[in-house]
Amino acid sequence: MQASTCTCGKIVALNRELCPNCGKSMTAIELGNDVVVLTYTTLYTVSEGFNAPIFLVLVELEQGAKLLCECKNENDLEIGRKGKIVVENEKYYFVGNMK
Amino acid sequence: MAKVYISGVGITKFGRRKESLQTLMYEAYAHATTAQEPEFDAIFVGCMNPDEFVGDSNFATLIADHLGLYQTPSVRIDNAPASGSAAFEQAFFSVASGHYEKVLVLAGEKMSALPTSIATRILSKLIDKYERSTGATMPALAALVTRRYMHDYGLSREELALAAVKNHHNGTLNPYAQFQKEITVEDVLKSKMIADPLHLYDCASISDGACAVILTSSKTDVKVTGIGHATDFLSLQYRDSLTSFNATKVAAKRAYERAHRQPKDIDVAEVHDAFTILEIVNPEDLGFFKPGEGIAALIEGKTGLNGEIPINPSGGLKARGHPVGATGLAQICEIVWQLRGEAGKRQVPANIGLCHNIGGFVNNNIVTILESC
Ligand SMILES: [Zn+2]
Repeated sequence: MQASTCTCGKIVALNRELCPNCGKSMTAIELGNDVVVLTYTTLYTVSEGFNAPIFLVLVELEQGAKLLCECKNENDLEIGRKGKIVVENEKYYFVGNMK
Repeated sequence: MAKVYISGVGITKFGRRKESLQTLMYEAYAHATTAQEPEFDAIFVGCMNPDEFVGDSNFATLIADHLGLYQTPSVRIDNAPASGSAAFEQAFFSVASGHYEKVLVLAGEKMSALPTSIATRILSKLIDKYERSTGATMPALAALVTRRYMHDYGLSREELALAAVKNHHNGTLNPYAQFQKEITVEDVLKSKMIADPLHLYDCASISDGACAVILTSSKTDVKVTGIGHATDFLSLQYRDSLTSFNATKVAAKRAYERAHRQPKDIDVAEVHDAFTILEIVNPEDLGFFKPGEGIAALIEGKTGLNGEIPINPSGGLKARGHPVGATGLAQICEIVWQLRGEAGKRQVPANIGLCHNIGGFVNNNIVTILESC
């Protein structure tokens, strides 16, 4: 999982040039793929161009970085649910671990 | 620095309006002004997105022209759904600096001419590009916050609905509100699900409306004593807390310091309840209650019209309606009426009032303190 870190302590998911916290250059790092769900929603009223429903989760990565992404399976929508991030067609998805 | 006072204020009825945005702004302007004061040093127009919502740009000139304020300097301020308070803030600076003596602030939006899915897409552009690529909308982000707050503080779905019930009650007492009808907890829970756990009645409506406020260096009975403004990270995923908003806390701290006031000094507040969860979180972030205690405050009526700190006597965004650019200035109008004793059936005892307006998903916030004098 791509992430960016800064000497000020800020760490964010995905690649980013300048730190949103202090403006210094960030360093690209790789984080492990084990994540945990912090919160979730099922979205029924979507923007033009999207199809409902959309399962969204905000997950915590290693070192406290967070990522908003879609979730494949409605049954994985649970705070504290552990799982992995998979990439399909350049999009990130949360998939819960086997229970 | 010059002292800055408020003279006239005016507002249109909010809701689905047939008139053009400039006609609505004229209606608000006519309420705020008298025949004796047709001259202004400048016009500040708060409007988020006339380009997409009504198909007009160069809107500051259009308004000066429409109102017949020939040659008057005019500028449009877009600060997302905090455009109304941002226009007020810039107008305040212009008078406080001594550069101008009397200025007109207008704010408005006309959103209802477009289908809801298109309006939703326009509003979703307020969100970070990566986050919105997941399909996230404003209600989706609010739902994520709501779910986490319920988990951390034990807020129940029924308790959350009380925020909408309370603000709809206040709206019945506000002739300018879009919704002037009581609702029940059951009505909220039976309304269409938008982003689980948020139903339609948890979300502020798509609305049209406009407001006008006159700022002056000549003494009146209401003084602007402090404005605080702060941003937060654009992305929700960059933030440390999901149940509290730093942009509100920092903006409030700055406003309190400038006004030499503390949260306990505030008699009445208008806060940005675009979603019911914000009716609970905002008063906590403004320092009226500790984290998690906003729930009991709502249930026990502390934020009701007869409570210790009435919140959103106007009905808030929930019942007054939320024409995005207009909202911040509508809050100012309500607090001015409360301080002047002109709020009719929703009047509360007040000498010091606070307005809290949010831009984006709680990342460009403005807190304004007004006082009787
Ligand atoms: Zn940094």
